[in-house]
Amino acid sequence: MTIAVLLVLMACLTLALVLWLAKGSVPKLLSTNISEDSNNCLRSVDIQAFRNLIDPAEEAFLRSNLPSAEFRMVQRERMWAAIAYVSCAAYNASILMKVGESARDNPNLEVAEAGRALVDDAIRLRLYALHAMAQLYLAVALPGLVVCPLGVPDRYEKMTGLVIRLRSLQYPVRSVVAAL
Amino acid sequence: MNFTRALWYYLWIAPHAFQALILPAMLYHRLHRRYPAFFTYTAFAIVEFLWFFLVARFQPAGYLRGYSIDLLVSTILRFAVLCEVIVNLFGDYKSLRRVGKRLMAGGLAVFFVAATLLAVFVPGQNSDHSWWSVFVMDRTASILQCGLLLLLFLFSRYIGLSWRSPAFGIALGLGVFACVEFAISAIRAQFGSAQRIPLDLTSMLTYHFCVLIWLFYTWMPERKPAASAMAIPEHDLEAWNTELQRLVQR
Repeated sequence: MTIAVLLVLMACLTLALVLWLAKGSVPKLLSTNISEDSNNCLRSVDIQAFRNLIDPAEEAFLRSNLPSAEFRMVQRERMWAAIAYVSCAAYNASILMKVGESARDNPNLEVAEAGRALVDDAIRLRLYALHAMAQLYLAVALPGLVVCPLGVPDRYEKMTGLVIRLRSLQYPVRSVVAAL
Repeated sequence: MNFTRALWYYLWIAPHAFQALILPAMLYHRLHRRYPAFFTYTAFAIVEFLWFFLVARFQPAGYLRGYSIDLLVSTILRFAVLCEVIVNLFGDYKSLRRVGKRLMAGGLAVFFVAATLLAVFVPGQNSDHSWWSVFVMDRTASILQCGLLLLLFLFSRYIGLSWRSPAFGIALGLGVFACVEFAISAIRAQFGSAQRIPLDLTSMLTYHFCVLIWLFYTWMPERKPAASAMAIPEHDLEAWNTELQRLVQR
């Protein structure tokens, strides 16, 4: 009887979770303009600072020059900061995915292709970010662990380039900066 | 005819009447080409209802066999629909095809092992052996479907995939039905045919609700996201400018 009760509770929990997840994924019934949604603002990401945080050479320098207790404390702070950067990068990727999605159905084939490339890259970045977050949280728990999620900044830079290309294709007459 | 009997007949007949409206909707929007498994499942559901309503209920001796075969075919078709939804969702994204397949295959393996272990070590205490095996198989299939749909929703929510309307509606209906069937089959595997009527009514009511979800999403036309001129906040313009200059200088 206990097992049956547990299984019923699991089923109810699963149903609640499915409904909650589905609520956040409901396709918009009316056409929406992303710029009208105040929640869709990009966050600033300093890629160079992020690279410094996850640079193995930087970590080796700190490890050799600091007492072990102090190194662990500093390393934890660096990993927490890296997690914040990865979260921002992943968040920006989700916003730019929407930009790419809206361009995928453009009648201009070049714009559509650029939109598709942006969407694919944004998805890859989100997947890299998930993997990187797992590594970084592990590094927070075990500061001696060497982690190097270089995939995130590299992919983020590539995504930046794709956005610029997409915007320049969508607004070819104006300058790129004005288009941005 | 008392209220419970009337409700039972309504919940038996109405969902299949609504499903008869899903087929022309799919043909009108040409969805039967994108979702052939769901089209087949809907058509099968109507045919099996007609069989049970007009023929099988007058032949109680063959009812268990008919019910078992119907459950097996329905379960296989629901899995086919689930695979179809996954292929349609991930197929739109080149970067997800391999990762998505591996994730779903891994999830299927894990849930299959869990459901099999549960069937072996927690078989229930049903004295009616013939119905017991049906309920345990139903419970196993429900665990697999629930688990896969939960994984699908979690993954697509994290990645930020945009669902096209019919796929979302089909997945939502399947998910709701699988979760409720999971609970009901767990109770039936443990207690057998006790409290049959409330459990049957719950299952039928849920199925009715799911059919209405499918009807809504198959009739509603797909909406494409509007092209937008998204403004980038000013504090980002400097960063983007720097990035652009770096790219130009390469």
